[in-house]
Amino acid sequence: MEIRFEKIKVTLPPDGRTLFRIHAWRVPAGEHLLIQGASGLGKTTLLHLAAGLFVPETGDVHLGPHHLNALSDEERCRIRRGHVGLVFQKLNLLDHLTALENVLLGQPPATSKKDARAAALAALERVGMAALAGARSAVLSLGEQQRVAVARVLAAKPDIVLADEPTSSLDQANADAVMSALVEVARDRTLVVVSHDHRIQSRFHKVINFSEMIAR
Amino acid sequence: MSPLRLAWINLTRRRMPTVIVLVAIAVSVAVSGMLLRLYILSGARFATMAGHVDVVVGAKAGGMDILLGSLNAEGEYPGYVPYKLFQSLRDKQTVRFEDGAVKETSYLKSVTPFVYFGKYRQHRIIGTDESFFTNATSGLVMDAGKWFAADGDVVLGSDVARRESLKPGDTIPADSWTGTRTNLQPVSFTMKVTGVLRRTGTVWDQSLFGTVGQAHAVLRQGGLTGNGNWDGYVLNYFLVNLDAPAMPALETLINGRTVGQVISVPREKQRLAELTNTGRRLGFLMTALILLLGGLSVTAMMITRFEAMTIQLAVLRAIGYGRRAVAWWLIWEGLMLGCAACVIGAAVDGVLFPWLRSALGAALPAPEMLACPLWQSWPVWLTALAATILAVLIPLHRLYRQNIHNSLRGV
Repeated sequence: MEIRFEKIKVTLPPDGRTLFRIHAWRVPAGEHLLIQGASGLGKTTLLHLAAGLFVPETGDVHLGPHHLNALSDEERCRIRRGHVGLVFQKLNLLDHLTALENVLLGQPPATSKKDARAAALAALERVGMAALAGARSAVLSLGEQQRVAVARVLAAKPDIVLADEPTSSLDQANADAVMSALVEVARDRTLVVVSHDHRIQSRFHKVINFSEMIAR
Repeated sequence: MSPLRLAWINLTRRRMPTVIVLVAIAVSVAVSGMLLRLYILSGARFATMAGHVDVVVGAKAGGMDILLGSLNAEGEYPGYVPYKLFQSLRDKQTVRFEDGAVKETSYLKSVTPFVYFGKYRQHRIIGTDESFFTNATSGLVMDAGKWFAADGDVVLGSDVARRESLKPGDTIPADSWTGTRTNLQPVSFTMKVTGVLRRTGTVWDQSLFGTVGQAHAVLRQGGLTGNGNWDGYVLNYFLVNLDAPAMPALETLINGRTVGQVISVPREKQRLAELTNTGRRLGFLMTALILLLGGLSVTAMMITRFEAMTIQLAVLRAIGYGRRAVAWWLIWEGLMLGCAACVIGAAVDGVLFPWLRSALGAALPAPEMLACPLWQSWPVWLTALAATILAVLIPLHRLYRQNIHNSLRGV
């Protein structure tokens, strides 16, 4: 599923200052793209825009055949549930849920309980977190939480994976494991990662600098 | 993961906040429930008062004591008036006093004897005669069996028969009512049920009726007739119906020249209403205020709880949970909290209310005279549930307006 932005303008609340403009930008289906750039330019906002968490003041966002601007909030939500996997910068696990339950949260609703559980456990195993499947995310370290957040996306097998700094809290070995898992799950799917981590550049089809994509 | 499961996990895993909210709501429910039932009781206190009586004559005491003691079966064992006075009033309608004075009482329509002499379980047994039932204004109708014919027979009020599963022909054990006279041993005796009264909705439903003859026998046997001036031939009250203009004459007659006191039932009821209305209004206001405060505090606590979940809700929305699913999570959580708090609050209400009621003593009708079951607290439960639902509405409103992007970024 491709991602396409046209004549996008994003402003910041409350004063309406322009965060960035993107004239045209496209991520072809199946492409693995790494976006790098300085902090505060709007990389996280770009991912949120691509996921349809909000729509821009002007311009159009397309996700595959879906024109996100034309869809209601609920319709965008359904598209996310079916097609988009998000790894948040702040991880955003529900801290009263166990690692396994957090992963199960991301499963498509039609999945049977048995299949969902098997997929969730396999995803946790893939990121080396199977042993801590029953631990509440509140007691996990930042690195462990990061791996659970990635496992949530792995288990859901979405058409598009959008990951915001997925390796920022991981050591080299775990960063490698997580990136391998992400790349593997995104095989033949679209993967967009925002990261400052230069260790992972080699795993992507394309690396771009965010400041070159945008105008202010 | 279903909204119900999410709600259950959120409640059970965040134990301390859940317990705090639960306890706070439950206390609110319990206190409001007890207050409401006290209010209902204070309002119903006189609802069961027997009617169809114009005047009551009793031993000198406060007018209200006589009224409530006779027609609402309240208070301790009352004082005595001589049976001879009753006989004079009824039989000859001419009263002969010990000093030789004579008064005509032709204005009396009916005079009925009334003396408490025993208790069957918690129910009072009244010694009276057939006039109690056959007086055209009494409104009493026999539902089964017949009036008592001899000493030892007893007619039951409908509630007594129903509660104790009694019918004509049954024999019941009873004890004399010694009241506060702890130095006296109760006399045990048996009575044969001859009839059951149709329900009247008054205190008579809770009472048993035997003959005056048996009452006197029991009182004498138990040494319960006081100073013995009247050889044990005593009554507690006479229930009188008379021509209204004759009241002053009867008052002059009884109040001035005997140990008895006449009270006008309508007048005493009016005084009672005036006295209690202020308290009832205050009670109603207090109950309403506590209900309101309870509801508001429940709403505030729930809103605080849900407000703290803003990020969680945004995360769920971001990973694809629709508004409806998230809304159901909140609704389930509110309902579960509300229901659990109502159950706990009702249990506390159920346990503490009898104690509170007994602590208030004579300020309320006795439990055997007027039950006030737990279910009468239902408006409080409904309010608590409504408050929890209302508390959900505000986060729901925010949820529907939530900017997920901003919430996730902490803006």
